[in-house]
Amino acid sequence: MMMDTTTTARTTEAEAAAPPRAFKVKVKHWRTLASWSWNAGDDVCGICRNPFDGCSPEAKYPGDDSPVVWGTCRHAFHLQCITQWLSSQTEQRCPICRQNWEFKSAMETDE
Amino acid sequence: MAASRSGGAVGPAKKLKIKPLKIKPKLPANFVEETWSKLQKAIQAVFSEENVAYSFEDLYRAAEDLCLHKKAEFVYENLVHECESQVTTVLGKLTQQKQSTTFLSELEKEWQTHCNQLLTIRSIFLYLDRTFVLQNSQLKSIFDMGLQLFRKQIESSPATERTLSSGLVEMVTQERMGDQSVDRKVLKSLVKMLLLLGLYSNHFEDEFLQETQRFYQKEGVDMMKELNVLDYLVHCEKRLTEEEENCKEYLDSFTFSPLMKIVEDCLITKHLHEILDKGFTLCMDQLKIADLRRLYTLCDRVGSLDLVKESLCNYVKQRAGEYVTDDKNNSQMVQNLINLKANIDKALQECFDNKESFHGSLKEAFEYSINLRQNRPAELVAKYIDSKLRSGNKGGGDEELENTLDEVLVIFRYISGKDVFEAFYKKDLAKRLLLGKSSSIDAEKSTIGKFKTECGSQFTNKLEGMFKDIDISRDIMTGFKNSAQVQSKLKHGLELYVNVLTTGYWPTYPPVEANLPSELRDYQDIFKKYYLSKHSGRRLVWQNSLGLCVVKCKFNKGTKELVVSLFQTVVLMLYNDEDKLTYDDIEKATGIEAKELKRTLQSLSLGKVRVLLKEPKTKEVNRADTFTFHKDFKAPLYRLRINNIQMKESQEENQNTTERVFQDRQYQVDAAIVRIMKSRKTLSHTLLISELYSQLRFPMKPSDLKKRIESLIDREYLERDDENAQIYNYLA
Repeated sequence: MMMDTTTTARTTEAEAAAPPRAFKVKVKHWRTLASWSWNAGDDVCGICRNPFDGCSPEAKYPGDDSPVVWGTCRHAFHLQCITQWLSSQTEQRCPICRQNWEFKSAMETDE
Repeated sequence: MAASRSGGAVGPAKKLKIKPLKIKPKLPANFVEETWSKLQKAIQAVFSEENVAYSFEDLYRAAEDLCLHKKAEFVYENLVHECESQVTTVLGKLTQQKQSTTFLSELEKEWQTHCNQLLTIRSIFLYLDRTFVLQNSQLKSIFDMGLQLFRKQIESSPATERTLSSGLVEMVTQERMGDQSVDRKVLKSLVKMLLLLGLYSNHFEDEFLQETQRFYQKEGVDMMKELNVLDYLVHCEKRLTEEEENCKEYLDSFTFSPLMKIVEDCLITKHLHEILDKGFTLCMDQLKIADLRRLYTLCDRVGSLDLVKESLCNYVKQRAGEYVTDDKNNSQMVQNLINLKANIDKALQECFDNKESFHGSLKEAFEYSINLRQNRPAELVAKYIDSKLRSGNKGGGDEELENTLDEVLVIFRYISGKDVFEAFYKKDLAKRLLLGKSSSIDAEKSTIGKFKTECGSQFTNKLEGMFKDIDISRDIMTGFKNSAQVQSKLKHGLELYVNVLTTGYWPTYPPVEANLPSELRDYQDIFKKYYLSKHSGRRLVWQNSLGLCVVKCKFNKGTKELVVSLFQTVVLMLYNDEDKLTYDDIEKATGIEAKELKRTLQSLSLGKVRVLLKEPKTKEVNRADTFTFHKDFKAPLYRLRINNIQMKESQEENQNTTERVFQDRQYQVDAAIVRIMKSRKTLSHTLLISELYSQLRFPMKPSDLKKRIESLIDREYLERDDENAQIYNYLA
């Protein structure tokens, strides 16, 4: 209570004095978080039908252990799924659009 | 030689000839009568304890003589007669005695004398005993004959008999009542007499046992009323040892087991339920080791260990049930359970012989009571571990922490909804890791290790993934700081640390939007670019709700460092340009959602550290309020933490966590059904349900499982068999 009354008094005093001055509030340190997921929408892998954020049947854990890759045709699959698919085929084609399969390079996916 | 030579000269040797007596030698005319009368006098003298006029050798020879002259039978018959008349007079005299105690002691005396006298007489007639009697199998040896006469005499008078056995029983009873004056010697010798005479089992034992039963039945009832249960048990123990000793001392060993059975029955078995009802909880609550040990031993004696087990389980159910269902003492629940478990363990070790059969039932009892409430116990166990692993937890070093964790783990084992636990544990672990609140990463990892051994790696792999993310983030941040290209872009002298989380490992945080001040946004953009350049094919989403900032504030009375949340920072930074802002101003500028904003403003203006001044001064934050920067803020410390108002949030959070767990359970049930059906193709309903229960690691009602099956039929994963509705077919 004591504190309250004094602070009120001060505030009104300050307001009376009133030369507006910028206060310095400065952030020194910021600790925050971000979560990452594969940049493939909320879609599912066309081969295993599991979500990209989940994991392929071959992988144990989602995330780094179950990476997602893109072909030059812009179709995305779990790395494990497409590798298995390609190794079972004589011709290296995308299972969705039948175009020739080529892994899209990191630089290109970046965009 | 010389004589014979001269003899030879005299004439032929004279032949020695023995001629039969002319007259056959005869016994003196009244030899038998005289000899007997001599013996008779001697017998009478022995019986009347007088001096015997003849030497014992004389007497022995006399008896022998008679026997040699084929008078053995005559002697024996007369001897029997003498003894009989003696016994009759002696016992006849005794029967006059009315008072039982004197009677008994007199009888004992007579008995002793009688035995001694018989021994003397037997010595005199030993020859008879060893020859004639031995050759006639139907005759009893002299001593036995004497005893039999005694017995016959006692048996012939039912009154004597009654006085004898009831007198004895009364003596025992008196001794039981604590009468010190009871002559044990008399008692012992008379019981021995009964045994020798073969009267023990017919006449004494039954009456004795009946009386014993009467006595202890009454005592059991009386003592139960009079004493408290613990003293009663002490009393029982004392009684049992007493009876054991007495029995050994003066009773026949055959009586031992029926006697003990009666005592045990009357004192223990009959009152056992009452004893356990009244005493068990008391003993356990105060952990009276000696009393419990006694109780256990006594029950073991009467073969009622099952009742003890039952009581113990009921005790656990009752206490643990109380702790679990007591909604007001949630914070104490886990500690209480740990203490209870420790007590039970101690009792088991020290009092109950660590009995194998107890373990299983105890486990059931614990499981039953802990799962009386769904989910909440799992949550509280997770919270308890959180409180131990959180930094600032006072109390002991690593070893103690380790012990505590082991104790909690025991409780954890009893929980059936391990997934609820996992969800809450994950949430708390996330907070500890992200806000740097964990007391030691080693302890965290060892905890995870414990769960892993307990529930398998499936349970912990997401938790381990979280640790991996933290490690990876540290590397990323080192790279970020050391990248010259990045540093050239950073202008504000702000230090940024980002934990990059893999979606799926971590609890999901509701996205909360906020308009960040430009300098913060710049940093975010720079980091995002840096990250995506290192990891292609990824998306990065900022999670603002768990951000933490250290903010330097210049007040008139000096500069302070405030440790605040991101939202608090966003609000505070508005005051770089203004002194005074209305609620609406703030809302518009920050874009923070109303509920969150109110909470933030409340923490800044109504908490312990008030850096904003609210007008009007009410306890709630309202839309019409204005907030002024508190220029003259002062505090003794340089660094201040402004806690967010957490209360409501955490309740809501808990609700969400629980709901999510239930959602997850449905998916898991669906997955399990499909997995099972895929491998079996066809399966009956009951078999499917039992398979499911063996696979699922959380409790689920059969009706709920049925709903999931129905839903899978609707979605055409399964179908009912055409012929039998109880059978499901898998649809590929």
